[in-house]
Amino acid sequence: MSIGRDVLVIAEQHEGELHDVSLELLSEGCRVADELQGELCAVVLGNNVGHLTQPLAKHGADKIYSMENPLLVDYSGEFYTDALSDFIGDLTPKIILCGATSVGSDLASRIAARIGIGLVSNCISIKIDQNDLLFTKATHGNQVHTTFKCASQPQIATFEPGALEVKKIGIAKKIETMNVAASLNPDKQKSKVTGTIQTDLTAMDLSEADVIVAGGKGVGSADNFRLLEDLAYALGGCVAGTRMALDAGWIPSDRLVGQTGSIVRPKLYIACGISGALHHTLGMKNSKTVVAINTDANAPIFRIADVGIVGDLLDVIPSIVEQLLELKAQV
Amino acid sequence: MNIAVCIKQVPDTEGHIDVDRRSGSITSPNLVINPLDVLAVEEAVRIKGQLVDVRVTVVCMGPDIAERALRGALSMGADEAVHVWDEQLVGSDSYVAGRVLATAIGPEQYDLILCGQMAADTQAGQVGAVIAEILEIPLITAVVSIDLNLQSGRMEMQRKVDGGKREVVQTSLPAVLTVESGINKPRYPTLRAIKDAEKKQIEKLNLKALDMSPNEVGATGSLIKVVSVSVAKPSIKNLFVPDSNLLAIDRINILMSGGISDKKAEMILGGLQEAASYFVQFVKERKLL
Ligand SMILES: Cc1cc2nc3c(=O)[nH]c(=O)nc-3n(C[C@H](O)[C@H](O)[C@H](O)COP(=O)(O)OP(=O)(O)OC[C@H]3O[C@@H](n4cnc5c(N)ncnc54)[C@H](O)[C@@H]3O)c2cc1C
Repeated sequence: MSIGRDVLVIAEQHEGELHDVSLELLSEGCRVADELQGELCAVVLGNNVGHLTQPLAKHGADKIYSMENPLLVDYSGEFYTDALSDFIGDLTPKIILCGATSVGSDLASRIAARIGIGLVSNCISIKIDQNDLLFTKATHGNQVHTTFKCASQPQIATFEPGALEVKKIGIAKKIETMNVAASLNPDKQKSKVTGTIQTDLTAMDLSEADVIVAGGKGVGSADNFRLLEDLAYALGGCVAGTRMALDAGWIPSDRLVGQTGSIVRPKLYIACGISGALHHTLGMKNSKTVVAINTDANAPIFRIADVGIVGDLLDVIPSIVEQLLELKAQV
Repeated sequence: MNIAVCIKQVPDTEGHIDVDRRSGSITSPNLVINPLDVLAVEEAVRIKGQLVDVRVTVVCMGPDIAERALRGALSMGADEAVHVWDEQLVGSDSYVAGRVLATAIGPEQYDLILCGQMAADTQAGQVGAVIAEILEIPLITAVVSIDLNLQSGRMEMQRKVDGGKREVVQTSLPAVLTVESGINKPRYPTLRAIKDAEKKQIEKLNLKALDMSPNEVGATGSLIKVVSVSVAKPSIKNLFVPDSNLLAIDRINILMSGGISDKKAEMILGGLQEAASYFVQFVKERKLL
């Protein structure tokens, strides 16, 4: 081990599946570790997470630590912090990378407070200047970019999912995997998660939605809007629309997307019968992926779409819904 | 029940922010209570309205002018205010702020400590965690609703998690809760309340009163240091011609924000089944299901 030069990525898993942000962090971690001439380590917590070492190794980890304990199956801020703080104390990495997800943000703030190390949350970039790491992040309502240096070692930084790119999957290196015992005391637990609720998709704030199915004038009628509701249901998303849809009374005013409505950035935005007027696209242009369904192949919406389906939404949507339901029935 | 609410005075980030790259100073014509802290004050006052014997104390670390923030919180219905300041505190990061606030709050004085989930200026989200750690009490972040039916001294609440979900959490008290947007709609204080708040006594604490040494605070005690600041500039993307029916200000905004990127859409013109399968395959591959 190279003391004080290693990069540690805290991998995030839910129900045995790795969160994509973990792979993004490994790609960035790989670059930083190379520059620091240290090793890239990854730690994953859970119960029965041995199968995750392969994907972690493929994305560049030199050493993989797994901490298994029935108490770590689901995220618990208290247990994860207890388990990781001791481990980090022993490992003494130079830097710890964590996803700025709801789990990662909570965890990073706890670890930083527990060990007393510098935290830079929601980073945009890391630069290495001689022996110092420089972290840049947006501050002041995203109007300012501030660059920080940490006085502590280790230091911890979080990155939003999608902020970093996943480098090509390489061939798994010869890696070391280690099991680390986590000593946890369930009697000491003070707060505990008792359940999870899916918020009502028709009431959920659009800014929180991962998937939005939006309709415009091309939908044609309130009845046809049901098709969009079916699609949204099949994808676990929210229905929204354009000003035209609002004016026609097909959507309530809190479902309007655009300059005069909500600004949204879901993972998937499906624009159905929407021309792509700037007033509308201003509100959705930062969506991660955009799929457009429109009869007019020249509709401007296709210029900002990742996938464009030229066709009548009245045919296309039912066909998609059917296939999605078939797919669900298989699993 | 005794509730402490930590508030921070911040530049109004909804408005224009001035950045001086050379001195590193960031200023704005308007100082406000951090918007999420306003929700924390509101939540405390709401609890006071529903349970008996609740006292709400607002605590703020900041220079003399931060007294305005405390008066603002008093006008919303807080009972007492504590103002922590010392010249030595200039340059403190969130870690130091958390330690100072935890010391001012002290152990065993309060049943509930409320903070905003993050400050609009630093966007760090660290203070609540530090307070909880130092006072050795539970921390629940991103709280969006609190159930006031205490069951054998335990409180139940919901916190915002990814994917529009809510986690239900039960905790023993005392605890630190950081609140997220959506928890409530803050009230506008009445003119009378604003006037009354002007007359209230504010407790002042300096480092000596907190029994903290200058080495622990300010830039010396901080774990992260600002190296440089700059105005956030968007990366230039392809522009499409802003259409002329947009207001001039919107066209300028589009240009300033880097415009809208022109993606090369994968166009599907084939048959219906083909289009649908392509879509399903696409969302599957991108793990959007
Ligand atoms: C000051 C101002 C503010 C505005 N703010 C907003 C705002 O916040 N949000 C907003 O959305 N709009 C806003 N607008 C309106 C905006 O300019 C556009 O008029 C509106 O977005 C267009 O809505 P649309 O795409 O639904 O309708 P249209 O532009 O009429 O487009 C309908 C599309 O549907 C397609 N289509 C028709 N039939 C079918 C079918 N069967 N299958 C598939 N496709 C089909 C057509 O080819 C066409 O492209 C604003 C306008 C002004 C002046």
